[in-house]
Parts: sequence; C-alpha cells; structure tokens
Amino acid sequence: MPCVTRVTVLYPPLAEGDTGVVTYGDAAGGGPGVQVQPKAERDVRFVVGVEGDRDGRALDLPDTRGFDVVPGPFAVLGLLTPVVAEAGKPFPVTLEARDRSGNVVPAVEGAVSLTAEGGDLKTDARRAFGAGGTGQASGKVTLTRTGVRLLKATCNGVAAEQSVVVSRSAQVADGAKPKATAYQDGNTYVLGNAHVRLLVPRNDFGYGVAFLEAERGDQWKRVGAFPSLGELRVGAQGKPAHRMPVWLSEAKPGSATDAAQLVLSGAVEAAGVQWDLSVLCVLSDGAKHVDLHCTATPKADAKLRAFYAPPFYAGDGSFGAAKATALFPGLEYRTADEVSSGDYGIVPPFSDRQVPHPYKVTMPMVAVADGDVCAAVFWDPDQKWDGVHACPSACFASPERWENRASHLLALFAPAELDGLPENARELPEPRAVVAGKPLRACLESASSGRRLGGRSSR
Amino acid sequence: MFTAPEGAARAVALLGVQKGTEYLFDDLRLSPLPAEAKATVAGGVGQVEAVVPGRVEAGGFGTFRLTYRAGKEGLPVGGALEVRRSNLDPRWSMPQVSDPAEPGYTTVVASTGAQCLV
Repeated sequence: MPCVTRVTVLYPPLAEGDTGVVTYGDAAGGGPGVQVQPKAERDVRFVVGVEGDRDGRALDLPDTRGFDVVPGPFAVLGLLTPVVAEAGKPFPVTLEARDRSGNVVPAVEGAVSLTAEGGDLKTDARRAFGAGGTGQASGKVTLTRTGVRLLKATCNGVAAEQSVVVSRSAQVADGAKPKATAYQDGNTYVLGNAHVRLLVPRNDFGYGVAFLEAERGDQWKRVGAFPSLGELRVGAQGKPAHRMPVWLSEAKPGSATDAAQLVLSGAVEAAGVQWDLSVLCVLSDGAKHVDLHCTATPKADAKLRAFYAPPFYAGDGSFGAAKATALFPGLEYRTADEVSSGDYGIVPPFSDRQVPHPYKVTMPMVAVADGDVCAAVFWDPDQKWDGVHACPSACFASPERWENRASHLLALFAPAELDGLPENARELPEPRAVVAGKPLRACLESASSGRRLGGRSSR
Repeated sequence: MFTAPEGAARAVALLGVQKGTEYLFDDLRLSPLPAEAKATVAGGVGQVEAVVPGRVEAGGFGTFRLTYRAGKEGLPVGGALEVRRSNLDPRWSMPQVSDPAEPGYTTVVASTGAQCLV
C-alpha cells in the first residue's frame, strides 16, 4: 500500500484525546484539492498507521470509510467492431458510452444512430442506451459492398467513426488436404494442410484480406483475420502517420518438397513513392503454422514511419474480444476478464506493454487462446529487417481496445526502440529515410493449435 | 510455536544460525490479531476518523480529511502518522505543503498546536 504522506510530531507531543487533522487537498487557500486517478474504482480507502516508538514500523488503525471514484460525464462514444467483415454476413457491433478517461458511463440515456456511407447497412443493433443500463448497446450489422467501409454513430451529440474492411466471403470446399497444398477455389486462394489453412479471397481492391482457420473435428474453425498483407506508414512529423494497407494484385500458388506456397505480389504507392511488395506464404505438410515472408522495396528514396508485416487479429470473425488466456512471454499472462497492459499489480505508465522494448520479450511470441483454439505469432528476433538492424517490434493488444476492435492484435513491425522508436509507440515520431532499391523484410509464423495456453491439449 | 503475551503490541523473533551453514527459513506465518485484540491495541495508540466525499469523479478533485485522536499511549515527539491509500495508482496529486493554490495542498493541524513535519 503506497504511502501518501508521513506526518512527524515535533513538539509538543500528543497526549490521550489530543487530535491531529491531516487535510489532503485542502482547498481553503483557493486550491482545487487533490486530483484523483482517471480510472473509476469502487471503495478506495485511506489507511492511517501510527508509529509511536520511532522504530519505523507503523501500527495500522482500523480502516477508514471508503469512497468511490466514479466515471465522469458521457463524452466519448466507442464504436467497437471486428477489423474485417464479410459482405452480406452479419458482424457484431458494440457501442460504448465513455467519459474522457475511457471509463464506461452506465447512466446514459439517448437514441443512437448508426449509419454507413453507401446506404447498404442493415442492423438489428439496439438503437438506444437505456436508463439503468450498462453503458453499452450491441447488435449485428450487415454490409453488402466490399472495400474499406466507414461506420458512423452518434448519441446525444457525441459522434464516433470506425472503419471496417469488407471482403468477399471465402467460400471454399470444407475438406482438409492430407498434405500441404496451394490452390484456387472460386475467387479464393487456399494454402492448407490437414491442420490449418489460409484463405485469401480476391477482392476489387486486390489480395490482402486473409483468414486463418484451424481444423476441428472435421470442420474448419475461424481463428482470426488479416485485414491486409502488411502496412506502410508514411507522413510528416507531428501528425499521425498515413497508413497504406498492402493489398496486392497477383497471386501464384506453388509447391516444394513437403511444403506448399502462395506468393502474393504487386505494387503500392505511398507518399508519392512506388513500392514493390511481395508476401511469400509457406505451409509444410504437418505444420500448424503458416510462415509469412514479407518484402517491401521502394523504387525511389522514401521516408517511412513504420513497416508492418501482415497484422493478425486473433478472434476476428470468431471468438471476438473474448479469451481464456493470453500470453506475451516476460511481460503478460492474462486470463479471461483481464485486458493487456492493464494495471494489475503494476502502475501506469509501466503497465503499458503494448509495444515493449524488444529486450523485455523473453520468448519471441504472442498468443491468445479461447475455447478449443490457440492463435499465436512467432518470429525470429535476430532477423535484420533492413539488412542491418535486428529485433523488430512486437505489438500485443488483447483486446485491441486502443483502436476499438473486438479482437486481439498480434503484430510485428519495424523499426524498434533500438532504432529510435519510443516504447509503446506504433510508428516513428518522425520519418526515417529508406534508400531506393533496398528491401525491407519481416518474417513471422502465424500459428493455430488445439493446445490451450498453459493447459492440456484439447484434442 | 510462539504466542505473544496478552497486550503486547509487537514481538521480535530472533532466529539463530550457525556460521558457515546455509539455512532456509520457511513457513513463517504471523496469525492476524483477533478483532477484539486489534481493537485493544488500536485503542492504545488512537483512532482515526475520515471525512471523505462519498464519490469523486474520475480525474476530478476532492478533499480528504483524516482526524487522528491519540489513545492512552499518546504520540510522542518523533512519533508519526503514516497515511496510505488502498490502491497503487500514481496519478493522484502528490501532497505538497508549499503552494495553497496548487493541487495536492496538504495541511496538518494539531489540537495542541504541536509543530509537525510533513
């Protein structure tokens, strides 16, 4: 229990019945008092200990009356969605009334409007926050047109926006392949074996959205989704970076001994510079993980804030923001109701561990498990992403509440704190020069298995 | 097993070890005082009454008044009161005694007019 203050009696001593009044946040002199924590919490208490014999050990007096730190007024509307939706298929949406500090405000009443540009939104979402409610309203939304779609919500004059990548459905045959195989089934490329498969549907915007599925009892179960095959972040200092998703025009299946592969390639323009990009996806016969090798090469000198390998959203289109356990070795072990970077036994700012210094990561992996699936991302920390610098950054957000996603972000990107990235930042504050023709690379393994984190195998 | 005499405020256990030999002291447990004994001990050193708001808005401001009344033992010169909070959140104002117009301004007033060091 942290000591707020210590009051030492100088002279004269206090006799029985004498009083001492400590006023923490005395406003009599015109001050505002004590500013309390921004996080809502019930039954906060002060404890007074008395040290009468100067031995440094205080005897606590019986507890004082507790008080509640309560949410402030409704100021922010959170619009939580998956990162990827399939055209024509309903997906869950949650609206959350929050105060300026991010606490959920339960006592909000008001009608909610939910719209999407293009007018193809259908929803059964509850359209109001009710009296005595939880501060949350949820339901299902369906969008029929593909592309990056912007959802807008308002309640009591407070607005929220959220983008969702709407993709064609990946409709493929259900059967598992005994050996690793890459093939095309309708509009979708499939890289699969008996345990796991990666589905990459063709969209108007190219190949970019991908779904990872795991075989469970003769059925395929969605584990998570990639909204893009990577991301280039560009833009001037002092502003949030412009995020260019990697969506590619070509897909080519292939095979090798005991493995199959899918090569996706194309070009992306970012801040006036053309980049050649390729993503090599490799799956071995008995593997439960897909290797992803990403290469991005600028055709001219460029400036870059960050280079992301395909960002994996575990639970997207599946178990959502729920989880049984989540693990970031050396940093966090989280169970069902705990969020990553939470202040359980560790105080802010040290509780923030979404992008830690690479040396704090004791095993290069991040994982989330729920039900009978476990999704994980592994990487080689010695990989030199620009040919010189090693140790790319890992991002762990379970759930990804920083961007209001109802799933868990497991991502790998460059550069890292070793190269000037502030800890827990997701992009450099100022652009870094990248030389024309010099490739950037990032490799990771995206895995799924039936083994629960820290528990017995479920199959 | 050692049981402190009735009315004792604290006990010191001296654990002797032989030089050059490694020992592992395990399973040392201190039983909590029974409620009535705790009340007796606390009654000897005093009691405290808190005047706090029932609720404070997150990130908002409040005033918290803690009144200590000395027990039979009184509080001698050099004795101290330690004020602690039940959570670890460091985003509260730090207490300060230098500027009444700034957040966290803290005062201490003794009924005897005693001078105190904060």
